[in-house]
Amino acid sequence: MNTLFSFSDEQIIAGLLAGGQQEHQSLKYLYTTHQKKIISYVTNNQGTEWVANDIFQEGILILYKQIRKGKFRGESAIGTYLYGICRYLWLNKLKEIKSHRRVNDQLVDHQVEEESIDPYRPVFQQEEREKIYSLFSMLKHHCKEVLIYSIVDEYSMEVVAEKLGFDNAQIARNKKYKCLKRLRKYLADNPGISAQIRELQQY
Amino acid sequence: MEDQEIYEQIEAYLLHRMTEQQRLVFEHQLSQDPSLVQEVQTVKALHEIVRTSKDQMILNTLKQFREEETLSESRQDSGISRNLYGWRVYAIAATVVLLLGIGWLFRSQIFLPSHQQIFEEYHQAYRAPIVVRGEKQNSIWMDIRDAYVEQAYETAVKLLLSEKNESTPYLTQFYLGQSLLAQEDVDPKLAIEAFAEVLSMDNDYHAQSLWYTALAWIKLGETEQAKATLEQLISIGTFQMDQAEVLLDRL
Repeated sequence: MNTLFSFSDEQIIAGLLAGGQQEHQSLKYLYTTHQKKIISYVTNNQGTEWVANDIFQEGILILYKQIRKGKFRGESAIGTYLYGICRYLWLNKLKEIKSHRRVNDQLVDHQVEEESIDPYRPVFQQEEREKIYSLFSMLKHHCKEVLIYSIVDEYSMEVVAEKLGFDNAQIARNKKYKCLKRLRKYLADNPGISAQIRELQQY
Repeated sequence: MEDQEIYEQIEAYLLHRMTEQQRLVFEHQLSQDPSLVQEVQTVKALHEIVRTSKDQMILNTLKQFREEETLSESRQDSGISRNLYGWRVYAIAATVVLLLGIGWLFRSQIFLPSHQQIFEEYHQAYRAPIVVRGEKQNSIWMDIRDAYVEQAYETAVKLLLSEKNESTPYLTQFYLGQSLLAQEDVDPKLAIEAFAEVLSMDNDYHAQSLWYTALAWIKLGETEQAKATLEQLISIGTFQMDQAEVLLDRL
């Protein structure tokens, strides 16, 4: 992947906060500039490339959320911070794999050493997340925007109305409620996903 | 009280936007009304769906970078071997030209990559649909997914044509287009029609559909149509943008 421009940390943060195409460019820049370092850290510490990529992607997601919530205070460079997150994620994962391996060793006498580090084993309940997203993706584009701005970004309905070009906050509120009703219907039609959300909420 | 008002109260409670007094009153209501407790759980679940979906959207973007990178690496590898192969071919061609005096036009007709070759170089079927196990209405989609994963595209097409997907018809059309395009002996125009259906609906598969439409035009040898579609895709800028730019240059 070619990157023509160099972004400062401030530019990356501004891009992630702006959303849309700027968010896309910032994510791409983060991905391109830090991928090799994180992948080699994980693969040099007993991880497969497959798992290393999962760790890296999850690390970027955590960084993204920290920035969006204003929890990244810029006390260290973004690259250092991301490396720290990924290192933490991998060490935790490794601990989990090792304890899993110890249990398996006791049960089946060393036969499943490879199985415990199966590269296809989901790292972060990825499949469940994709299923949940399949419900959300059934909503229309403007519904997704209203819900993300108000629930994820926690913008006031005045700001949501302004961002999406509604005349006032009440119209945005009504729209949000209608969209949630639609989502609620999709959820009711998919009891399997409902159960998964309850499980996910326990984490 | 209206449903919307109840919802807004629950949300204010969950997002800690109530005054202490309001919170106490609401918690008292909760202790008296099990149906309200149930409503709070539902709203929490809906919020969880939205938050999880935003996470998934970011992860999908990152996965897309990874896919683009893998595709680009494999293209570079095949480019290296093609170059080596090309040297030999051109050496032979030059000898042929010298010996037989064959014109450059004839040579270029033989050695320039055909549209079919470009299509094969860039085409990679989109990842298989995600299906929730254990739900009756999804059993046909599990069959579709299995056929698609096994590259039994003819079977996938039959299943997709028999599938009545009212909630996400664009998914049916998208995978129909995929399954048609992946088959050698099927007219790519049929795939283009399926992708056009996706583009006519409101969904998240527009950029993907444009990419595969461009590939279908290339397979048909319609360079101008392919270029126009790629330009459209680049203007959206959310899927295969790097590949689209490279491909556009090549065309």
